[in-house]
Amino acid sequence: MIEIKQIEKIYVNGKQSTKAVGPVNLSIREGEILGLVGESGSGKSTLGKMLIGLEPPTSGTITYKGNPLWIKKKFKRYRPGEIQSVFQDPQSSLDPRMRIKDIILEPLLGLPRAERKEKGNSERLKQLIHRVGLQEEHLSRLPHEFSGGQRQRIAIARALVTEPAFLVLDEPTSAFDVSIQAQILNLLKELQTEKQLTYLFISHNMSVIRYMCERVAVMYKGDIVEIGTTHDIFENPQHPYSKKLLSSVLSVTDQENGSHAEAL
Amino acid sequence: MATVAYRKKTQIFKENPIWYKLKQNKLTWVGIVILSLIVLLSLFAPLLTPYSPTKINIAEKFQSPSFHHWFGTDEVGRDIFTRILYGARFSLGFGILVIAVASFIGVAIGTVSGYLGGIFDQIIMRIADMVLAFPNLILAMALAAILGPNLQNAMLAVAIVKIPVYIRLARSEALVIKEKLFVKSAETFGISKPRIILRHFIPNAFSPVMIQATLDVGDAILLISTLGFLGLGAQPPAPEWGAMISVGWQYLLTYWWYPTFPGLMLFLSAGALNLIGDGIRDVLDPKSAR
Amino acid sequence: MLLEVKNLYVDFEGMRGRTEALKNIRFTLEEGEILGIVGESGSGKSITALSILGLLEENAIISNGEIIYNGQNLLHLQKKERQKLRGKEIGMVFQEPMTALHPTMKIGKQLQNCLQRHRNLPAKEAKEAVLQALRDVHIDQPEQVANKYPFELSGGMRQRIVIALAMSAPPRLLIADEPTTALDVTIQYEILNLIQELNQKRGTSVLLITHDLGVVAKLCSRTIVMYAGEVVESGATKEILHHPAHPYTRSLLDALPDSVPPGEPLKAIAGETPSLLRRPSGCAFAFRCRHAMDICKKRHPELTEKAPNHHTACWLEGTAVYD
Repeated sequence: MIEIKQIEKIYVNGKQSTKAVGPVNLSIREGEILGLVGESGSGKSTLGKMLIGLEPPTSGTITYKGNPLWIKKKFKRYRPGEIQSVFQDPQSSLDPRMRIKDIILEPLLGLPRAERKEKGNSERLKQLIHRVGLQEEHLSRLPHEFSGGQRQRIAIARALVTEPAFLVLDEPTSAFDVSIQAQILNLLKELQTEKQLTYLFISHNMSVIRYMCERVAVMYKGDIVEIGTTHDIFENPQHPYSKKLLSSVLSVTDQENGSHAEAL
Repeated sequence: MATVAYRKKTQIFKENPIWYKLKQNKLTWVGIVILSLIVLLSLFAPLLTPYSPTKINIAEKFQSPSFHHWFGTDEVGRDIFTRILYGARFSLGFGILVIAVASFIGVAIGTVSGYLGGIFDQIIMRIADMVLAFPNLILAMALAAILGPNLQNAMLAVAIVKIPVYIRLARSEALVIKEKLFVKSAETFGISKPRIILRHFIPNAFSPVMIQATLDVGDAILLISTLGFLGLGAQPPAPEWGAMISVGWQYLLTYWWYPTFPGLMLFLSAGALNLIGDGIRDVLDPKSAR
Repeated sequence: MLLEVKNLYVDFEGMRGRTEALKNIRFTLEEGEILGIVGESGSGKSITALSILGLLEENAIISNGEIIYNGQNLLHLQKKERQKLRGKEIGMVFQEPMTALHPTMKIGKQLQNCLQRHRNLPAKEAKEAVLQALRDVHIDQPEQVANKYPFELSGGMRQRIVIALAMSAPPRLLIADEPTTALDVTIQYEILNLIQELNQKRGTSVLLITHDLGVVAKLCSRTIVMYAGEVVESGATKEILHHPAHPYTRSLLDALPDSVPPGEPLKAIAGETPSLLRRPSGCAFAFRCRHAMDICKKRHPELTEKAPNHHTACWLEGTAVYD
């Protein structure tokens, strides 16, 4: 579905150039949940941004269903609304001055008029708000009246309003406590199966990645150092960085020999 | 149904952190009271005084404050209290008008400049800096003198002087808002930049602009009046406070009421607006939820 | 017993009324141990730390309780005396290192100031002490680092320096509030190891506050669990994690992604933390609890000992919660 070939992102500041990403090669298959794991400076967020149009790659190509996403530093939307995103911080990803209804419907403004009417009708809006676990009366309120977990649900509803096929999720649960995280992860997983979505799930949290993703790519300082099925990466990591990353994970049950947690 | 909705609305209003903090600031209330009084006086001027602001009555010239003429009369017998009331309309009205225009233009230019950046932004900033480098009054005087001494030109001069303030303010707000996730999200949706500016930038830049504007109205009133005083603004016989002082100051020692009352009104209006602006600033910045 | 908190009640007077932030907080910390306080946001764990340190905001009201450190009730001390204790006897490390570091002063100078003040060292000895302090927190090339400004260093390095500053007296008690939350996973591991080492080698007692159960599993011999401003469970960490007696602790463990095989839905806790303005009567967790009984909503359960040194505030009989 998505082909990333030799993608590079280099930031130039005066005479200094810093490599943020690349060269990176990656394929994302339709219908899968691909995890992108790494720490700060790994380039995982930058890679995500390149897929949604926020950062133009310095070189290389990204194709979506065969069509290149970037032509000469301009982001091309062949089928607007098919690629959407959910970010880490629900506090700043929602405009504090906008009503929830307007926030959720906003992505439709990037669609052609006919589609806008079809997808923006109040019946579908009602369904959507219920699906993410909120009430109709919430539509007329402002973001600050909601808790963090609820705001993230609103962000998810917003990402779904254009009926996307591919979702880039950049640390969608990192700002939350375990109990809210569980609710959001459940919601995301259900939605993925229901609507047959494809996810690129970016996170630094190994347990979350392990739970959500079928395949995982490990990034370190801009490069993908290892990629494989979740099972392979977690049971048998090959690259020294992957090993280091996994050994740093603190599991609740087994501390002595660092083996993986068993269900209680 | 309606009562439930009403109760909910007032609850939200009362729980609004801005209202709560504003309630606590005493000086701001002083400012609000004074300003409200002045506004009311100016609105109801014809009802409050039987005299005309411009009708000459030489027989009653230079009368000291009395029961008939609360603030006395001027050199052609006009009631000063009346002139002050009508002058309030001038000063307040035009002060607000000037700032409204200046802020509108300034915010528009500044927001676009900040969001788009590039050479356009650099040029705008240099021009704004150049204008801001001059002391307000000197530049306003120069402009008014060039354009010709009348009230409209004085207002234009003050507006021109004030526009760069809003350009800078809106631009620095825009620079911050530009990086916010909700703007980045909007960009990913494929929404056009002008639309993003209207939907996201303007509403979020509203508060600091309001603060600045409230403070500036006081400043504008003073500037227009100063120009009037110098003969570069409103010309006599217009009942503008500055123009009144321009004629009246020579009588300070003989007929003290003539320049004193207009001066006092200037002081009160500008002061009240400053207190209000300060109060608003204390409340909105640092903000609770921005 | 180095620190004992007894029946602590802290309220905040705000625009909407009085918030009961902490209700009847009770725990002890023995000399030389690492005690963990675990809870989600809004549980009151940070407020507990700030109460001990005397750093609560102006509108905080301590309506009841004692905080006894080394035999002395801290709440009876004057502001100045409390200030003296901070740093000298009780060190603190917070989540964001930049809040503790002077942005325009070199690291070496900051450490030197601290060391000279706490240990009364002449300048020459102080310089050497700075380098040693940096080595103690496992910073290689201490001379180079001492010559740098905080903004030139990574988050992990900064936090190490904050720890070095906190340990400069050296204090008997180190209070660390989410010390690794803002750091990368691999760095977190190293910093926690460092704290463990300081505890083992220097005997510094540690009060470690975190939301991460993995962290307490690794470091803390004993743990208390907080929910909605109350202590709901306390005891040996292993005991609590393997045989949780309070349904909240149980559901926290269940909600971890590691606790179910991939593919099955996570056992999320329905609902959200209650507002502390209008506390529900009875148990604060009742309306979210799978095992809630009638009594839970009516009467408030107090912290009682269910097993040796294992306390829970719950009406359920028995010592462990099973589904």
